[in-house]
Amino acid sequence: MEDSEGRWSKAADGSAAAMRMAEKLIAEMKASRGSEAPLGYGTTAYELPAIFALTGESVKNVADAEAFLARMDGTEREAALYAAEVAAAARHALGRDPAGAGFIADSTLREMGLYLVDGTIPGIAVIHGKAADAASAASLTKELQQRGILILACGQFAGQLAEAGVKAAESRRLIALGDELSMAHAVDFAVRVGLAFGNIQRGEKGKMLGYIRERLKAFVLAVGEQDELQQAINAGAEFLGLPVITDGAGMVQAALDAKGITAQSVQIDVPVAYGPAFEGERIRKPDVHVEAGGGKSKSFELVVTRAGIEDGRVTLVGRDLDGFEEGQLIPLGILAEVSGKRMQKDFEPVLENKIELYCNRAEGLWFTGKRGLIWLRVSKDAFRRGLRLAHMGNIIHAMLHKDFPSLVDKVQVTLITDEAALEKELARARAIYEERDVRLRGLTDEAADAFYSCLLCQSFAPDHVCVITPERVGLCGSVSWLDAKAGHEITPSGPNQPIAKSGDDIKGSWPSVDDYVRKASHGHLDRFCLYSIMESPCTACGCFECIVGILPEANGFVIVDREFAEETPLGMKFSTLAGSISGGQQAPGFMGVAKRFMLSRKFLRAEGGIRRVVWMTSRMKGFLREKMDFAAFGLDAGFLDMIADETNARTTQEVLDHMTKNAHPALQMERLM
Amino acid sequence: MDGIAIAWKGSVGAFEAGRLKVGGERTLPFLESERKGVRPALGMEVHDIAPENASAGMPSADAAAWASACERRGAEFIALNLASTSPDGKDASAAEAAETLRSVLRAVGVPVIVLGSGSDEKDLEVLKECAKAGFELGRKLILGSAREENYKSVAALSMAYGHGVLAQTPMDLNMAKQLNILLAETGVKPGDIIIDPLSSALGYGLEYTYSTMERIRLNALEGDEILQRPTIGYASNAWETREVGERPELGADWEIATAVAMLLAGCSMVVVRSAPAFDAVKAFLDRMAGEA
Repeated sequence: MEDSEGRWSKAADGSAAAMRMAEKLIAEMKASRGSEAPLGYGTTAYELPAIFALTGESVKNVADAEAFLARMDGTEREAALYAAEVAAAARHALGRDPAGAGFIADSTLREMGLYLVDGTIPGIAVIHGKAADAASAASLTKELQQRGILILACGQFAGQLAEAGVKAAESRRLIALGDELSMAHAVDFAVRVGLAFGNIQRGEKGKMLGYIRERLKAFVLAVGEQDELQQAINAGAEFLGLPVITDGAGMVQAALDAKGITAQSVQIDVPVAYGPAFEGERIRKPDVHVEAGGGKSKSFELVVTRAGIEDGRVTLVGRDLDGFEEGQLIPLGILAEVSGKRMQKDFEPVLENKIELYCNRAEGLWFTGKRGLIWLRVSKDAFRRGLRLAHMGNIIHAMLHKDFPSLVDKVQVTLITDEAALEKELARARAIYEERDVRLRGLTDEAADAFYSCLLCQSFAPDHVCVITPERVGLCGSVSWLDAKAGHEITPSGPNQPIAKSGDDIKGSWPSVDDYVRKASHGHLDRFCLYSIMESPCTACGCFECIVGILPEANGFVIVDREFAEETPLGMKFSTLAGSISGGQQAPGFMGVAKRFMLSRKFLRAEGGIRRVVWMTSRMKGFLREKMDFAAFGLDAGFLDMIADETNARTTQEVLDHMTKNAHPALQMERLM
Repeated sequence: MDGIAIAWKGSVGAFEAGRLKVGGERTLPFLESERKGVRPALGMEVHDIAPENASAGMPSADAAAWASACERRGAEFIALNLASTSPDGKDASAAEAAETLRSVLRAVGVPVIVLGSGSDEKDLEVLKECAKAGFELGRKLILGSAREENYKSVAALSMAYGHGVLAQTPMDLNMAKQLNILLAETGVKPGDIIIDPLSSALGYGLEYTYSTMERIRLNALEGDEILQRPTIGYASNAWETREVGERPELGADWEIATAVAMLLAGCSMVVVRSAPAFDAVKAFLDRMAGEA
């Protein structure tokens, strides 16, 4: 392996050689046809595309080319590309094109470009050099073709393909351009994608380089020993933003990774029908072929991130469905390992939550439960039609790719029915669940460097904005900070946008949050104090699980859940209250929240927290009794008895009486009003 | 006091194709301040095969002749419905559809919206051939419709051949917004996007269409850049209602009521099918513009 300096000096030599070649051909053209002889291709509107796009210069004839070459001092990293482009064009004019497709017409480019933009062609591989032999050239090509990659082959590699009997055809997404100098046509193709599809104008070099680097899913495979000219072209390609991958094991994967090209969507390989129509399907006892989990046999599901996995690999450890007796209870572990550039540990539970849904969509498969408590049934009919455990792996693989294309590059699934192996993996899974729970508990607003918005409900409450923090779940109760974060990764332009923030504020007020809220509410809201109900409280769409409202006489707040249909001590029912705080209105003293928010340290923090709650429905008391960590607040469950409920207080006076009798702390707190 | 001045923070962006120029609204529809210059565009629908309820009148069974009649009547654009390509119907090929489009483009000077049959897969083939045909004739088309499922392909056609795009979402502001973002991210010029919030006829959910159109306009005026795009509505859907199917004499009125509601909601481009409806809605627009 040469060091980079050595490679660079070789590339510089190659660049100079390319310049000489171009100059020589232009001189020859001048001698035989004169300075006015046209240079270029009739099938493009972009003159000599690389020069046109990157320098903005117009090279249309011999004189232009001569002047252009004279102006270059050969130190430009892309010099070899210009030189090769001029040389290839001159050669074309002189009628000396090598065998191959040569320059690609604009019309073909537009057609191919469509497939690139819509993802039908996931990427472009430009290959040059010489493979060890014809067979390995063919196998490298096949590997790329299987992934739907468009191949532009140049140099001896193209010849090796012909030798191996690999047919080059546009329809096979394999185009043999010509010799090494024909690499210029590959470069011309790349820059014209930017010109035609990227709305980039001639001479906008910075924009073009950015486009090719960020958006064009193309790379160069430099096969075999590379000479000076090849290295010069490689250096130019790299400058352009096309990663150059040299020989070695895993060359294709390295190239795909370098450009973040993900596998094409896979058809789900299952012998039964698959779709949302089967989500609600029940499988009754007499129809069950085998059953797993449900608390009666060991089972688990787990999604973890792991490097070095093989996409699409499904492994079965233990017996398959046909290895068990009909009606038998079987152990089952489902382990999905994933990897991806933007995958994060925090998203594992988000993906794991989907397994239930994915499996339920298969006809004859019924699935419920989570983590170490899953319950699964396979119908006799599905079994007869050939459904086996590996198919579950196929389903999970395909669906994770489909739903999380921006997060997941590879998915590998292992299904375990072997008791001993299951035991071992289950222990590991339990440790991971525990680790996640600890992490969840440790997610604090103080530690977060960004909150997330949720604008899902703007379709019916156009001026409402939810700001979701680790300790303030969305008011509907179904979007946590992690969900919003994953939502943003999956759909960066979607309703979950990050709002940067730093440090803590007692009321939960940050200028960055205010700026966001102002913009997202179209100027209807100026400020949010995320932890206050009295000062600039958060707004609500209408989907809140509970309403918190001030009872001034009691110096505290009332909490009513949406299932409570009767009058509250506020003199209003849930529905009336809801009407006055929905639709993005800010109503100090009133707020719609998720049940879970009450367990948070940030609930009513500016007003003194849970100690301010003077009345709540007994249903909510039950919820808190079960879920709340009273000790963390310096309280015990006895505190709930100090809070009045519908069984002992219906009016303000009755609430006050109950508080006095039980020495409710709110009586001693600072006046709210 | 002469009136109330509302200082809107934004305006609807313009869309241009040939002679057609829509968008640019700076306030709510039909206010005094906008009498000059900004006016919604009124277009007519042309079918390549007879629609189910043909009582709206078919000037000709030939799409080009039909389109030409519409242009003579004053249509500012043509919505060419290529229903013949439906795989469940005649299943005309994409090449045949492109040929129909070529004949229409040769017959009229106004811009043409190309609408497929509603079959995702087939529409893409049809749009592809049509986009190419328009490009070759040097005409900017409006491709219908980019939806969440196919937007990348339609975006690619717009980018490759420089056509406009109808961004269709099911009467949902957020989805409209998201689709506009996705199209722009894919590379479509924001100026090439027209929002199609999905049109329902009177009695069939017009109020939802109305709300969505109104909301889009309000958000645009309030400064939401993503939604600062013209909207399109198909009053011609009135002809698909059961009532009009049973009593065709109601059709034109039904269509007029639908069209006017859409215009009042702030729709920038309205499509009608029948000649009486076209004349009536045009007269309405003239009056609102103080020209009659």
